[in-house]
Amino acid sequence: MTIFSFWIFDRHCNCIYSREWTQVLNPATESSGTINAKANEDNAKLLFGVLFSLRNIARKVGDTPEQENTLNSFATAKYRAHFYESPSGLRLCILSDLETQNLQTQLRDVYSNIYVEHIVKNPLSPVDFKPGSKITNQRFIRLVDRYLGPQ
Amino acid sequence: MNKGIKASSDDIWKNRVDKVNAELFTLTYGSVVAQLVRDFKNDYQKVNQQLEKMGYNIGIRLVEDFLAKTGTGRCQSFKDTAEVVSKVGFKVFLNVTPQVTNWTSDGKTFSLILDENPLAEFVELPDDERAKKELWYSNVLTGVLKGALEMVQLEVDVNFVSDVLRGDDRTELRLQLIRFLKDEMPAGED
Amino acid sequence: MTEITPQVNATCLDLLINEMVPLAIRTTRELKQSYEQAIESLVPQISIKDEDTGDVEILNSELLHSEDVTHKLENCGYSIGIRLSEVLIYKDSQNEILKNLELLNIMKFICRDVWRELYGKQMDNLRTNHRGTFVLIDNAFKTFQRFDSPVDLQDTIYKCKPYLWISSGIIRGVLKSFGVDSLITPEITKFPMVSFNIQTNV
Repeated sequence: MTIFSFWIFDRHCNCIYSREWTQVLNPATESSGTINAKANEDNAKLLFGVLFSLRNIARKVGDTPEQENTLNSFATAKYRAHFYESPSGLRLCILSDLETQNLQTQLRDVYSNIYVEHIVKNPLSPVDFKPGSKITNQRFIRLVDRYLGPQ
Repeated sequence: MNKGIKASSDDIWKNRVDKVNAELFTLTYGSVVAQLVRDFKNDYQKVNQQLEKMGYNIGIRLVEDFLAKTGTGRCQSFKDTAEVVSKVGFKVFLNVTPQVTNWTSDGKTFSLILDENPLAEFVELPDDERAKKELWYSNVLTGVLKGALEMVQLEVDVNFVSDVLRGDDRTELRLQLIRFLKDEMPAGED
Repeated sequence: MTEITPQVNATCLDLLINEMVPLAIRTTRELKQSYEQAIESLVPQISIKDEDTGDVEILNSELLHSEDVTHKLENCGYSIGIRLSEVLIYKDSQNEILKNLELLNIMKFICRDVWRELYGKQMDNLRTNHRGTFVLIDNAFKTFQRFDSPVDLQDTIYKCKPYLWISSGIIRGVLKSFGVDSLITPEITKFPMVSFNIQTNV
């Protein structure tokens, strides 16, 4: 299982965290990884646009009163994008290799055990991020890296 | 409404929740209210406002813990919301289950009757006639509910209409749905 | 099966305590404003949402370490302490503390019973000069468990400090419930380690 990158978008549709372990979206640049890189702002917007559209299509086609039709993942020729959205509108996305089929559990874990515990219950961290502001807490970064990053 | 809801929230309460002595919680909240009453020199309107505001800030954080612990999805109707707030929300946080009642015919307003209220256990209002008329001792709850529900796209109005602390027969919170909020769209789309 | 002591979700208490400092700042700010605005202009209704909703900007207020804020927090703690002491002794009338009301024994009661009730652990160290001064040390103060500033450690420590006044007040309250007056100076020695320097009049 290879995870290339991890992204969080808030309910205002802004990217509040991005972590890239390899430069999958731009193989021309060499890097050991970036956190909240400025260079990724445009990619974040594009990625969110796609996720948001697909999620809306899923809801439009296939939603029933009993069960929501959620977007779980989509694939391109080179990677798979895994998506989880909390009912409060926090959207988490992982880009992985194609062999990795399902990361729903991992996405929920990051939401429940890392985001909620260390951002939401941390009174020094905002939960409503101003446009342009990002998660920069060291503990959060460390925990996400340990859970999703290369072993 | 899922019939297993009671069983599963009992299970969450028993097995997935860190707990503290309710008395410690009650007297911590009591110290906050008492301090506000002192600070605002018995201007109970201001005390109510501050409690609500504090509640709102708690609610917008509390709801995330609620969603993470219970795995609750978005509700399909305001009726469902009422059941979830009472049987899951109040249950997993305060270990009480207020009664949902007094629905208006348009299905937009209901009451929560708190037979037990951990915030106000062993509490007496200040010995002041105005306090009995003006102070909503547990007003933090109105803010918590507003904040929490707003985060799941429900704009509601929440008010206390009676409180046993004031000598009323029961403690009743009234919740009114203002509107369902729309998801925000990314910039450049509509 | 019924529970012996009623309980609530620990998150309720955590979030309540987390909001006590912003509340103290907001209250101080509003009281200052209404004082300055004099009587003729009505104090504007505060809206439930304002610039600090979901944000933590309020902790950057110059009032964070003001005497007013400190005093409110310490005072809340004090009234918690007085009543917590009653609760603990009432709950356990066999408590060792009642057999021996020497000051050192009361301090042990704080380190053991009070701290366990509040933070689920005991105080890690108790020192005394045997002349009425005590130092209580907690190596990992539980309130700070999730505190982590997006800026840096220094900012974390700076913003944590007001929360310590709540506990400091609690200790003073418990001591007072045994008739002991005290002056307490809390300190963040090495985050998340804290100490309480207690001077008593005994």
